[in-house]
Amino acid sequence: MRAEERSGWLLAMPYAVFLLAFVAYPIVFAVVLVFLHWDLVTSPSFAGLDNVRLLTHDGRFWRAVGNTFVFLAIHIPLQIVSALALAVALNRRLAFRAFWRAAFFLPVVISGAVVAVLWNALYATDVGLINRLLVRVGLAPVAWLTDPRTAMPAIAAMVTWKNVGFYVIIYLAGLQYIPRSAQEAIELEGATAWQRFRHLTLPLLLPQTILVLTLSTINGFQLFIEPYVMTGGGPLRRTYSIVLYLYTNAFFYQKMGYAATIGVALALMIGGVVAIQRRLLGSAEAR
Amino acid sequence: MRTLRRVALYAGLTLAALTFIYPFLWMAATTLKPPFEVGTLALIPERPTLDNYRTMWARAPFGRALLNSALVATTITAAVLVLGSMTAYAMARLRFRGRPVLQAVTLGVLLVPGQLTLIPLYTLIVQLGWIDTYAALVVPYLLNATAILMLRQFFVQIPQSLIDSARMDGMGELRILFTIFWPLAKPALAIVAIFTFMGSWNEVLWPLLVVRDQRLMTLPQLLTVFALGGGAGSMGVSLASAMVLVVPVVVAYVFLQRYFIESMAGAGIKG
Amino acid sequence: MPPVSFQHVSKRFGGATVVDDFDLEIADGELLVLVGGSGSGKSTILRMLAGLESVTAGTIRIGERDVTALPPRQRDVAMVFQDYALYPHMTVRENLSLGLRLRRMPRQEIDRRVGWAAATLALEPLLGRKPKQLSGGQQQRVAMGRAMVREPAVFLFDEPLSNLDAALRAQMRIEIGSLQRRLKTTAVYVTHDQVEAMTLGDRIVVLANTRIQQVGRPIEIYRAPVNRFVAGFIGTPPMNFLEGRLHDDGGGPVFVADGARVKLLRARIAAGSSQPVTLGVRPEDLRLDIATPGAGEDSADALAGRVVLVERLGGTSHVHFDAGQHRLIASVTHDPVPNVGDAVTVQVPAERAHLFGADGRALA
Repeated sequence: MRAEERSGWLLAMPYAVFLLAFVAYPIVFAVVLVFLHWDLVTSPSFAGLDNVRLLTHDGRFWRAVGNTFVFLAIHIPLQIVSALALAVALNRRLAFRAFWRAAFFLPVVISGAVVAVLWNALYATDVGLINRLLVRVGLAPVAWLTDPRTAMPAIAAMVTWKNVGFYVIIYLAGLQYIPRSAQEAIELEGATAWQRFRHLTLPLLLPQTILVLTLSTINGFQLFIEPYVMTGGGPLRRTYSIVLYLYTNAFFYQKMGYAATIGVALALMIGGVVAIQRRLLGSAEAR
Repeated sequence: MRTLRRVALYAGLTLAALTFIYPFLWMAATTLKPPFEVGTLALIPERPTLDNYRTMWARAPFGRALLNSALVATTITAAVLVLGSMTAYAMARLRFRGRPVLQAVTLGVLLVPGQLTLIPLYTLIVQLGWIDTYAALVVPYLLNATAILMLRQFFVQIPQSLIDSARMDGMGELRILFTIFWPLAKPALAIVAIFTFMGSWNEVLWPLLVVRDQRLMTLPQLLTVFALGGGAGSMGVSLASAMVLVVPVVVAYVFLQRYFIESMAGAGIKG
Repeated sequence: MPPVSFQHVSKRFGGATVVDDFDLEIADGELLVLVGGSGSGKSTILRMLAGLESVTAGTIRIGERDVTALPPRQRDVAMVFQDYALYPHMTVRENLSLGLRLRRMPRQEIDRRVGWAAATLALEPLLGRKPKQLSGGQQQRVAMGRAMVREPAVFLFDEPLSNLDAALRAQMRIEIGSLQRRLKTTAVYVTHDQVEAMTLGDRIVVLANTRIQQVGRPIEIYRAPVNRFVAGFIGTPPMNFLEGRLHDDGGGPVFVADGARVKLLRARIAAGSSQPVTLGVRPEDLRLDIATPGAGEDSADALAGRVVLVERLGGTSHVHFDAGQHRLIASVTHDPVPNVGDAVTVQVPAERAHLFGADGRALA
């Protein structure tokens, strides 16, 4: 097999090199950077555990972490409920089914930057579409992005809107696997539509729900372009996200070591939260 | 009774669909409105004007940015397709030492959050002197683990007999890959092409880090800078710049939606 | 008030008629079998009774109530599905009790009923298991238990044994029959298997081409099929058919097919006329003897044949033989059993012969 082995190596070589240069090396160097002070201009200096210590006391960082949890607390339930509702509604013989599905999925393919700019306009206090609609029906306008109480919820709603189509597809795939005869059986047993949903559909969609939960969580931790464009992290730093802080440290403060530390902390947090979710729900799934 | 529920269902779905489509329509309409009309609910401006577009075009190099995005996205997609399928072919059909390790590592790559490697990659780019170059935008994306895994899954299913007879005809591996596998793999290639292209087209954090010069900015990046930097001045103008980014995508989406959905949903699940 | 009645029920899908003017009353406590091939409409009828399909025309009543427009949950029927339709994520106990829990029955009553069903169907050791841990037969019994605990007005069975192997099928057939007799609940049972129909049904409805062919007790259908389809559908091995003509040339009605002449006493035909008919006779009614060379008078009723295949089942043998142009089967329970290649003489007893006209209907 020498020729085959050689060919295999040759063909896989570019990727192996790529992995080394752009994946392995950065991962290792990220950890190294945690222990360095570096502004990219002068040479790096050893920092010991300075960065780590700084991070544990850094109010801005922990505020960002808190904001992320606020975001997740609103975004995740909203995402699951809306995606589930739309998927269940679509899961039947419908006219124009492809049209609905395409409509819901449209924001998924649009760039996050565009969505941010668009919703900036929608949420604009004076001339934004939403407030104009509210006023039209006689309600008071809300300072969506400038009121500290509503800013993060507003962003959470927007991200939900953007991604719901994606999760609808996931749920639709899961719904295909619920046996038709079991649905008929439960109807005959006297279940109303709601009871059928609660006792049959929902439990059988648990794997998909776990997936939605995990992906939304990861998404939430990686929030960047939305606060960057829409609020700059304010008002009162209520929408300041972890990645935004990372970017600021790298791009504006030129503190590479500290920025890398934030990156590592973020990766660990994501890993940790996802692992906990999987543990809690994986056992539910196995049951 | 049943028809009543049916009607309610359709009404609900229409309402939902509207919440997804209407903002885009309103955005498009707003870009055509003169300043005093901006913010109204009307979908058809009373005095339509292209001023917003003219202003936007004059104030920032959007044409250039469009070209940049196109260039970068196309290059990356081409590279991912070619290099990716080479790698996938090797992983799927050629036996070599280290193959299982390579596969395991590729799967592992999917687990790594981008933010971990962001800063080191950035410093690498700086040290290579690639700030404000196309290289910085393109090279870190030339290969893509998700694409490789998807293509590999497809390549594994092609019957061995095709390869054997090709080898007997004297074809080399690359020839086999591109003349036999590629035509058969068109659907998979299309799917990979779409999510790779879209991923690159929509990417904004990386360009924001490695490109400062407006002439080299990608479209979403310029849009962000423009909208933030106050260069827009008015909602009409900033939305106009967003339209430049959105319209080609929406047009492609209208015609190819099935492929978009299959591609981006499939890739997302794997990731 | 009959527990179930169908009045001129029809079902159309788009342009195609699937059930055409189905009219039937089911007696209290009866196990009624709907039997027919695929496309006969039998499953559709059952599903219309359950409320899982809408009715295009006609009325369905359960007891006094007109249920035609009612959703399934309000009809007080329970159904056993072909693929059992158990809830995959629930234990056997939860599967059995869900219907009762949905109706907010008191806990004690639920436990009592579940316990009773589990005991009757020998499910007690399985109560904590999930469906995927059960065999096909066990799943089938859970499905039956689930129907039983509801104590419905009507049981519905949709080809419940089709997914089981032959031995299990035979055993479950007996269990279902005895269970239904014990519970005395009216039941409607759909199957394509005529053996199930014959052994289980108090009455059978034979369906073909969207219409009822015949309704009656198994033995009536067997002895007096009203048309050629029913005659050939019921009975194993199937009835032998010979195409020929019915003559009366003065000596009484005679059936003639090439190579056969059968004197028929009962047939009514105008003297001097002749009409095309099909003669039907069941394998077990044919009297077969190994031909002895130089036998006595050749009986006008006898067919001369040559054996081509013998299926020996032990007590009975099915002898396939050629007589002229016809390939026929005779069931033989006595010795000696002929061998392949033997010449045989086969007598068609006139009183066991069925006659069918050109339109397929039985002639008196």
